[in-house]
Amino acid sequence: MDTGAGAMPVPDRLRRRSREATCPGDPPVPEVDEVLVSRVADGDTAALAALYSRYRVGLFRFLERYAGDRMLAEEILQDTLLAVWRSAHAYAGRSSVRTWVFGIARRQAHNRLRARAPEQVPLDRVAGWADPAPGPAERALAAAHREVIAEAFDGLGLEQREVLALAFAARITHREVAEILGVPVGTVKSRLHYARAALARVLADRGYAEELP
Amino acid sequence: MSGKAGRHCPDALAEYAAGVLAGPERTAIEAHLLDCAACRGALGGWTAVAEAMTAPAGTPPEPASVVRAALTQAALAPQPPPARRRRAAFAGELLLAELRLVRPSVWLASVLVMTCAVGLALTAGNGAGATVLSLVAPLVAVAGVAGVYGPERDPAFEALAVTATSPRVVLLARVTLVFAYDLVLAVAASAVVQLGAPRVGLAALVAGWLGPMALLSALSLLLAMWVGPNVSMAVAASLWVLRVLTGGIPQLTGGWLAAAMREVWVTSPGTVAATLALLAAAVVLSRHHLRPGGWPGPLRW
Repeated sequence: MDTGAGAMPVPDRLRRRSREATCPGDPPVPEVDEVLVSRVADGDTAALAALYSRYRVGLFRFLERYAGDRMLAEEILQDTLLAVWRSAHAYAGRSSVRTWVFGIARRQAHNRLRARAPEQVPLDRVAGWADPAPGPAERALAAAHREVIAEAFDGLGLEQREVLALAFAARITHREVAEILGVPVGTVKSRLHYARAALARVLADRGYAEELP
Repeated sequence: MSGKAGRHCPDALAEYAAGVLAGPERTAIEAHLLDCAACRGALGGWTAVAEAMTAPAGTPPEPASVVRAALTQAALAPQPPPARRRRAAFAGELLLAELRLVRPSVWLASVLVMTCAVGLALTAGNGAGATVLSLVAPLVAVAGVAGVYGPERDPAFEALAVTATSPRVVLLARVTLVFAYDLVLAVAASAVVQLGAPRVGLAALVAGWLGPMALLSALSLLLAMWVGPNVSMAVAASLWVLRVLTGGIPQLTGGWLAAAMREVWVTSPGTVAATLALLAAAVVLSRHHLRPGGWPGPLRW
């Protein structure tokens, strides 16, 4: 992980935590993040760059997947950094910096994507597909190429796309996804199941897993 | 989740496929997967999704370039103005909005009465203009201020009762509007009168009505909030009649009442101080009577 904090004096205590945090899995380091946010609030542009560096891979994967377009994702990313820059003073530490940043990104994305969101797959059409056992959904997903799944993903509704993009493209834990979306963890899990079922349904409609009812 | 698979499949299967699990959680799932064909099958679906979601991983923009772009955007689209400018803008918007809510008859009646006064002043001549204006301008302002507020006079009363803007601020905005309007009207009338009869200077003309107009308006506002617009109008009209009578009827001009009215009916430090005191009392009263979301009970509007 590029902490990007090299240019700034970070207290020894935090520096130590920062080194510990560079093991696989890249868990966020709250203290370093909070120092960065408070510096951003003071108008430190290097701190903004450092903060972005810490989350850029997950953030951009999420936005690119959610928006379905690199150019649009870059615009939303820019909106997100602008919003972080302007609202850093209002960060109250109620959530982790990571979920705060992703929450901002999600809202900025939502602002831009709302207008062109495709219709969601009705729940009654996917209700029978949410079973996690190896069944129709698994067969349809396994049979499809990754590109085809990605294409089917672009046809899903915003709610399903955002939960899949956060959990899989940005690789965020379900607990944090719940925090970002402001819903219970159970809701995240059920949305993921329905989203996966909706994907499988789209794939089945396109001829994958033809043996299905 | 259903049937046999429900018991086996940990909820964390999707997280495992996404690669966010570490340590004991990850180990536990891997051990479980060795024994459970159902979960292995379910994992296949999640893994397919996970791979598809991360497949064309584009390189994220460089920090330097994206931060520069965001800051440029910040400079081009200025931040919402700081609190003070926002307050000024809000005051402007509020005044404009209230302008539409004050009944047209308030504006129209003021113009009509003032036009009559100007006509009277011009035809009377001999310096009568100052007296006419000093009597009419306060009356016009008082009528406007007293009648500008309250359910029966307000076309948007219910709407205002649920807005976030406090009724006090609304009242203040309306009184300001009406008083400013009557002030401009009276100055214009004075200018016309001065043109027609240049013997009295404009400043003297204005001084003749400005003090009583402000004093009576403040009194009228206080009474309107305290006991209601009708009583307020009645008191103001009584004072006005007293002034006319003590000034116009020879038998009354020498009494103490006439002397008192002459003291009150001028622009002097005393009347200015009294005006400010009445306004302060009205503001204090409004704190008790006009709370956001709650309308004054004691006034029985």
